[in-house]
Amino acid sequence: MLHSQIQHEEIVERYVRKQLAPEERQAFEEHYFACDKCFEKVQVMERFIAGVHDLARRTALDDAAETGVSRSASGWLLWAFAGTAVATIALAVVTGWAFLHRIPMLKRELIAAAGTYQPQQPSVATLQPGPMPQANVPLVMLQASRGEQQTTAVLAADARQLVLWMEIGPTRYRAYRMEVYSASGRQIMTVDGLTRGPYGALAASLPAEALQPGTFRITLIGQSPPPASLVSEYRLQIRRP
Amino acid sequence: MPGATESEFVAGIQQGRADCETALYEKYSARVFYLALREAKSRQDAEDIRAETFLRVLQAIRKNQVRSAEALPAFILGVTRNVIRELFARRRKMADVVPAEEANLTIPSHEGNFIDQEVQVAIRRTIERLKPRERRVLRMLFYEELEAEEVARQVAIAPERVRLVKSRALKHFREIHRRLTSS
Repeated sequence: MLHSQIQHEEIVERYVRKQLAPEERQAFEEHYFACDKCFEKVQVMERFIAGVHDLARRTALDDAAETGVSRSASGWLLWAFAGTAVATIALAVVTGWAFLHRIPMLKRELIAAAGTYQPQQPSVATLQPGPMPQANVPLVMLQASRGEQQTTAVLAADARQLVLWMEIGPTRYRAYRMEVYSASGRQIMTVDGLTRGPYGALAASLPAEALQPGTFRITLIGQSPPPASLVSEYRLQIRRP
Repeated sequence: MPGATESEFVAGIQQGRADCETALYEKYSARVFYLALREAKSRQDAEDIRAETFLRVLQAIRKNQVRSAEALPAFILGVTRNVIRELFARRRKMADVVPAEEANLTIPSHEGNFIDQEVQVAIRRTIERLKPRERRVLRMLFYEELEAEEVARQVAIAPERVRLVKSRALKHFREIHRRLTSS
């Protein structure tokens, strides 16, 4: 594998993110075992991606640098402080007026109006929105993966849930745990307490917003009675139209 | 033996020179450990894989079983892969009788092994330099794991711009991290 190809095809990043085909991966491993420069690039990329992951998990990432921005903008600090002080005094005046004058007046008006409003309450309550029905809920039947075999689900932009249906053979377990991993091996979610339905299959729904386009690995682990062990593994590809 | 060639490693080890064994270990140990950690996702397993790999490599060199000195890196890689495969085979057998947690079937990501204080400081300083939209690009690429084209579409910028944001951020990170670790 040549350095020009590694650079042009972003091999280092794709290797770290586990996006290379098996042959490419093997070829690149052979390369960096003999190349100090590329191995160093792999290490830097691992740290960089792990660092972004770590920061994104602990903060919103978008807000992560806010403290740094405010530190560098020290010239604005005095003006910002003065503005805040003026705003605080103004707020205190308005709040005092509201507590002493406006709120007692509104309370009196509310008590007066309560008698006429009360009879209407039951009909208003019936209009409160409950869980909304959803048409065309996406559903996929997972097939236990052999090699690179995977099931594909296409999620529309307005899909809120994806229903997974897993038919499994006889096992000694009554309850199962499902774990969902991203392509890089990060655990995205887990579903505990899965039991067979009337058709002998397992069914679970996952929030669609957590399933961005890409490939996911889903493991099904027999949970109860112990000891737990892996029952089957699935690969699920998510596409968005 | 800084700068020693593979031929010198092989010749020295076959002559029983301990400094050549040490030098070989120093040169390839990080690579073997990294590959083992990437596959096994456990530092303990990675340590075991590294130890077993070097044991086999040194025995093979002493017995003159390496095809050529130039093929030494590929040979070490091959041995590492074999040791990893054997570990997984043992683990598959264990899965029948051992709880999933103990058999390490619920494998976590290995990213935690690359996080230390220097990485956290370097990434924070790198992010501070970016505009909000550029931070969003990084988040979508590396946290939400979206494809570059999808990120470009959602943020409404050209795919080339996504690549530029990524490469600039990576360059800053590398420089800051190098300064932190060398000081």
